[in-house]
Amino acid sequence: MPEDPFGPRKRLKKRRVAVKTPGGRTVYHYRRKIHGKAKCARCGRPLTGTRTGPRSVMAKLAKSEKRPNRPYGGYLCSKCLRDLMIGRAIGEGWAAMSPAGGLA
Amino acid sequence: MGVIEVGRLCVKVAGREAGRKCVVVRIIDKNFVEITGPKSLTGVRRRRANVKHLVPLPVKIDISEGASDDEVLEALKSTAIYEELVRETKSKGGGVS
Repeated sequence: MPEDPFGPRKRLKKRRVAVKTPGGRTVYHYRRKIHGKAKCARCGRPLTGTRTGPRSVMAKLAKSEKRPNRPYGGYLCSKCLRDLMIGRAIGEGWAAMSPAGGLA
Repeated sequence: MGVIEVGRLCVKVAGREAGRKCVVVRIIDKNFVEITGPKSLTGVRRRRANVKHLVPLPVKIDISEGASDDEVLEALKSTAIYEELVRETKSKGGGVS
């Protein structure tokens, strides 16, 4: 029997699917894992404007189709980005009065 | 309107220009203003912006309402903050000079 290229870590790399064979046995087939949705690094909410898929699909997409075109796009959600930017503006010693909110 | 007024330097906190500084050139209504980087300096193009996307800074430059990008640039050059704007823009890779 040829050696399994995934070795003993196969279960970590692949997901297992139970399949009934014609002979009546139940065997496990190993399939590719499905990628999870991108989440905000600060609040954990799923990111909008991002796509997920196998690498073969993602590689064909344009950069602008994979994440929002803004600083920290695809890493922080829009709300957390805004909090960060307001915090930075204040941190630089700038005015605290702001109609942008997040300070009250 | 408070501190959002013509000539006020602001930081954009939302969208693709988040974190970049800009100057208010015209008040459109109570929610919207016209801003400009100018683009050649900070990378913020001349556009309408919601005041909720702006955080005002304690710097105000002397420009007339509806001033052109060139006028804004000239007014900025006479302020102490100009050098800082140039430095920041370079570090962010923005601006078309």
